[in-house]
Amino acid sequence: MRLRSGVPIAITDPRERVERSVAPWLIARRRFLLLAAGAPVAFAAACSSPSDPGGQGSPDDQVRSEVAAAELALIAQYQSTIAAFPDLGASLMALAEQHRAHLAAMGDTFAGAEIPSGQQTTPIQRGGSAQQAVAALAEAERAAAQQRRQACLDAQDPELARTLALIAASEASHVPALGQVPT
Amino acid sequence: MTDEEALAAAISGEDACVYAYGVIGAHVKGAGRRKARKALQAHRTWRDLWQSRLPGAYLPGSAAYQLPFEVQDTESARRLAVLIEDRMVAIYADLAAATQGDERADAVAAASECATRSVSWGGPSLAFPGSSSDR
Repeated sequence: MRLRSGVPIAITDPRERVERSVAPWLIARRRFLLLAAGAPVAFAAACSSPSDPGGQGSPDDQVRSEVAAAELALIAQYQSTIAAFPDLGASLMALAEQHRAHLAAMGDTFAGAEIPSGQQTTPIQRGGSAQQAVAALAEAERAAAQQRRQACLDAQDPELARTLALIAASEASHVPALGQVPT
Repeated sequence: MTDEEALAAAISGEDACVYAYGVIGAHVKGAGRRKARKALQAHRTWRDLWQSRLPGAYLPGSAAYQLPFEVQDTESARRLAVLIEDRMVAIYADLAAATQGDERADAVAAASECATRSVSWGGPSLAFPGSSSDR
């Protein structure tokens, strides 16, 4: 790894630096920028690559719909937790926003989807503490990461698989992030 | 990127992490040192696993590694851990895209481990981890 012109470069053998490591990093960076900016149009274009069987009702469409539904349920659980414990709002809002980005990455049609009522989908235990509510979120994130891993295995389009691998990693990382939330 | 290229990137990335955690472990104490030791072992295990699937993959060796910044205290050691873990997530997302079945499942598991460790070292939790070189 070497710092040059302010751009961090991968740990790599200097002899191979350009060929093997730097170029993939640069390419990956551009792709992530699009995703991070939540550009659904760019993502939709990537999804309709030739390797994607495409079309309504394709296996990959099924994967996207299931992931989108699961993301909506997670957002609803965050919302009901924030409603019950407003003091947690600042910490939890940022994580909920990441699930919105995951949702948007499943395609244009899901970006503006209506969040199901938190009351119905994920009741906060009456009289439960903030700690319990955050622990329940952590459990939901753990399960979500596992589900996303399975969805990634089911994906046929390599770009969908890549996105789902990143979403799985993001949700797994929410577990320690929730552990740092002051309750 | 072919599956072999993605596998080779994972092997050299993990090998670099093993090297980096040697440096990190020398600059943190107590629980941090235990965490660094565990992380080093995890990266070594992944490196060996991937290497068993791509025998003969080229490894430059620790002498070839140069850190992106000088590690001289706990804070810079922590920053390096966050950086390398995040970069491994990107490498593993490439591997997941280039493979299928068990190999892809392992790539996702490894990506999740790395993202989790990045946050546990104080890194930010991200919607799409692996883009630390953007920041």
